[in-house]
Amino acid sequence: MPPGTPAPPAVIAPQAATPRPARRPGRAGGRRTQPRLLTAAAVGVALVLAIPLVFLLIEASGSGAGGDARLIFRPLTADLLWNTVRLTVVVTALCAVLGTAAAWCVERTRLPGRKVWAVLIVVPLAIPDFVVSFGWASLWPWIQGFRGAVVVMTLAVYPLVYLPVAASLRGADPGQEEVARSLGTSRLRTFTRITLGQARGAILGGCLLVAMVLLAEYGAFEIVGYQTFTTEIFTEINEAFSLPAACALSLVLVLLSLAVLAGEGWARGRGRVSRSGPLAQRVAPPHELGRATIPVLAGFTALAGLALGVPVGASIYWMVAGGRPSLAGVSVLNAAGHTAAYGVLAAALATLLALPVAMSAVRYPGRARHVLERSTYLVLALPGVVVALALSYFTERYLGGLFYQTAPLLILAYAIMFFPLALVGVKASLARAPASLDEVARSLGQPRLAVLARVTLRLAGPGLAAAFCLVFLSVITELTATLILIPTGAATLATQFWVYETNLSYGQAAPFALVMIAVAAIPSYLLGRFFDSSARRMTT
Amino acid sequence: MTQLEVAGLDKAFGRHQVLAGLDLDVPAGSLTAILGPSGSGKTTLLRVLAGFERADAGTVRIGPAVADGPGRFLLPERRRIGYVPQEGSLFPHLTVAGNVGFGLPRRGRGRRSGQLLEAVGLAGFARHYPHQLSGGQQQRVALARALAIEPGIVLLDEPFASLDAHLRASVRADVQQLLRAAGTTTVLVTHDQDEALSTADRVAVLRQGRIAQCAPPEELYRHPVDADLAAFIGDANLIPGMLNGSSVDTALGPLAVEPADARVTTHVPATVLVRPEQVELLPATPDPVPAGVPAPAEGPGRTGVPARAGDGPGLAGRVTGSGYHGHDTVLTVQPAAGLGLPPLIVRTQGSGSFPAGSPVTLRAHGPVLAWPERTPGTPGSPPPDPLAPATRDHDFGSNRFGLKS
Repeated sequence: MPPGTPAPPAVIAPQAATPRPARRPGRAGGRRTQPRLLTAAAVGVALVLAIPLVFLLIEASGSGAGGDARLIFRPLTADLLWNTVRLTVVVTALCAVLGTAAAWCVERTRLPGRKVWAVLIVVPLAIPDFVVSFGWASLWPWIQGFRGAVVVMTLAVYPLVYLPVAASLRGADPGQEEVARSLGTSRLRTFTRITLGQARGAILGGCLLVAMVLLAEYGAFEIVGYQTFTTEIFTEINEAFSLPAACALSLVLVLLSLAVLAGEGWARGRGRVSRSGPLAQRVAPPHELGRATIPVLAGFTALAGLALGVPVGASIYWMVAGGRPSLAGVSVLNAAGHTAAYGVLAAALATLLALPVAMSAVRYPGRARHVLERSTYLVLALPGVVVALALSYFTERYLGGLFYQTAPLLILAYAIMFFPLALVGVKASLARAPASLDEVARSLGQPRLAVLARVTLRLAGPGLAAAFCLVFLSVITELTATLILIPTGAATLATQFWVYETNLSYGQAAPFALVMIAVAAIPSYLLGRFFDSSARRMTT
Repeated sequence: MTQLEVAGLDKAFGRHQVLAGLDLDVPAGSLTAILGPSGSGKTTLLRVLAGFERADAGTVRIGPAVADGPGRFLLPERRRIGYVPQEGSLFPHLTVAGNVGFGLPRRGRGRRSGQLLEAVGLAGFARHYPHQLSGGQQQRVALARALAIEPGIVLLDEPFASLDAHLRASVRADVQQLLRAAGTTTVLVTHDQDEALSTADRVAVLRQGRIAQCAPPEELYRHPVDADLAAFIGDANLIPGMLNGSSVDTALGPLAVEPADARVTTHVPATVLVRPEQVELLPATPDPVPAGVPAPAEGPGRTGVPARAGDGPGLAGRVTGSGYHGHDTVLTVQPAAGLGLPPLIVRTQGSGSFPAGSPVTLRAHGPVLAWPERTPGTPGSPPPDPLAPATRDHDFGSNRFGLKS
């Protein structure tokens, strides 16, 4: 029927039921069809990421339920479980308090020197956990066991809570606090109910990261002599060469990680925080600290001193005090070169793998895509030692040991381990380059590649670089998987540090620690700058 | 001047059919509004026109070229379509001048974008970044950017929805003027009928994945193709009646029907559209109506008010509410009980002298529109229109159309 001609009523009437109720007012059905190639790539990535978990399950079922049960249900497992769980709970709680308090002081009060503190508080993230552990344990012998592990790990990982909480406080809607106060809520209650409520997702996310680090940590615990699942698995692989035992313990560890992951998801799902207004942000006026200024400043000084001063100071001390080399070792330069090469390649690979998954999740939201994206986070539940174990035995069993202890396998292991980090960064970066901008650019006559160069990468580029840096930083300070998978004859900063440290040659270990801190500090600094500038751009 | 022709367009996302055999002709140089509720597929239609989505079936013709059709698909960058998305979607990393010049060749980019900015009244803002502009300014930059490539067709996706109400009218007028000056063919998508009716030359109502009617605004208001559309466009009183060729008998008396339906010779039950401005309010006559007379035609329910030819005699009622709008007053009147009529909407000039609760006499002036009801029980025919008799409150919030006129 030609449009414009009134149709006879009977023709139109059958459809003339009430119009469908409005689903999302204002944003009418702007749906997009996802390109097939992208779907295929995203599924492919998910499959690669599934390798370690699948191998672990095959291996566990191979050794038989009876064997597994015998390896799992023994007193050692109970001890390991108790050690691992109590440490995780205590350190996570301490980090949550420390990180949130520091973030609130820096972001929401007139604390003198906020900009300087914002950097000093984050820098400990650049110091590998085992270097922190080394710094404390080498100076004070009482840093041992549970007590030592708690001190060392809290100081090493609290920035993982600080960073997301600070970002969330910066972006939170000040109107909600004002409304709460106007409704007669006290300052304290406003803080606990509104401010903490707004930061709740960030706190939970930070705690999740802390717990995962604790479950995966090896070096720091080895130094203070604290036994957890990860240290025991490592011993089984590298010293006892017992695959079934390592696999059985890994299974328990992965279940533990999955429980943490599920717990975080559950806690997060119970309350959603959203900004109910337009994105044009108003910055909350900072609180006056008043008489609390001096104690708070003292607290910040102590935190920076303990978390940053002790490890760096100890390394410098040992370098100066330590004698001449007693072991013929790899030069710092050589190790730094290897480390940087592995780091760059692994970071590039992880970012590349994250792209299709992130693109699919950000631009074409839907249930299936959401499940796919969430499934890749399962990698979080795989500690480095498990990934290394799975990959090394996977190559041995199915590829005849072809890639075992080669650089490609090590890089793949890194990319799998740090995929979630890359994914978070890539997703955030793609969110800044919405598909609608690409479409506008194309309608203005620009072909696909020009759009990529002139719009998508210009907008997402800084975020992609941040994701890259995040992975690079993690690779530089990775020890556990590296010790298992490193190619024979090669050495990274971390492994070489470890060789000297275990030989108690602190003088020779110290330079490696300092170089690691220096190299890792650069990406940390850039990351800080990036997140800061992006936050500022959002607020202006 | 480019014209746009769409024929038999289908588009589904998964099992959700969004467009189903949509036909639309947009004459060259016209400003056509696509009007429909949220989720009716307006944006999807625009995205298919722009080439961001491919249609499942049907053809899109831009000027002489087939842009989307069997075995043929023109990439978005080759369509010369100026696209202005809902939020403007300015490139945040480019200045205003950079945004406007984005689609232009490097040579002469600065000069041309300067001209365009002048045209949209933002000459001094070339070096500003998008986040430094107000919503209305961003919208105008987005338009200048789209016009820069001298597009054959401009697509506007709810361009004024994100603006404040007081800004909306002025920005709308500016945009309308700019588009006329540029002489482009424009398709504007909106869920705001006020916007569609006041801005566009032609309004196409999108319903159930196809165009229910496409006509100039006045035609759409005066001659909607069915009762449902009548209730959608403007305020409407839909009451039952008996249709007989050129007149219809209703509770408001016999009313002239236009256009007369030559096919209907005997009395047929029908749904009758009486617009609020077609109802006149008179002070109640001293002798109130005894209720309980369901049938049309003369009876004790009528009052003695003399009627003009084609107008119904009076019907007693009571004012239940009134809204004063300066230029007119909209009242709701409950007709006398027993007739089974819902409250009627009545529009009167000036300040109504009928406070709530006052008894009145209603009188309607034809000609009116009437649609025969489908007889129930006929095989294959749907049940009677569920909305008759009812004054339908459509899904689009308060209706502002009539209040403007």
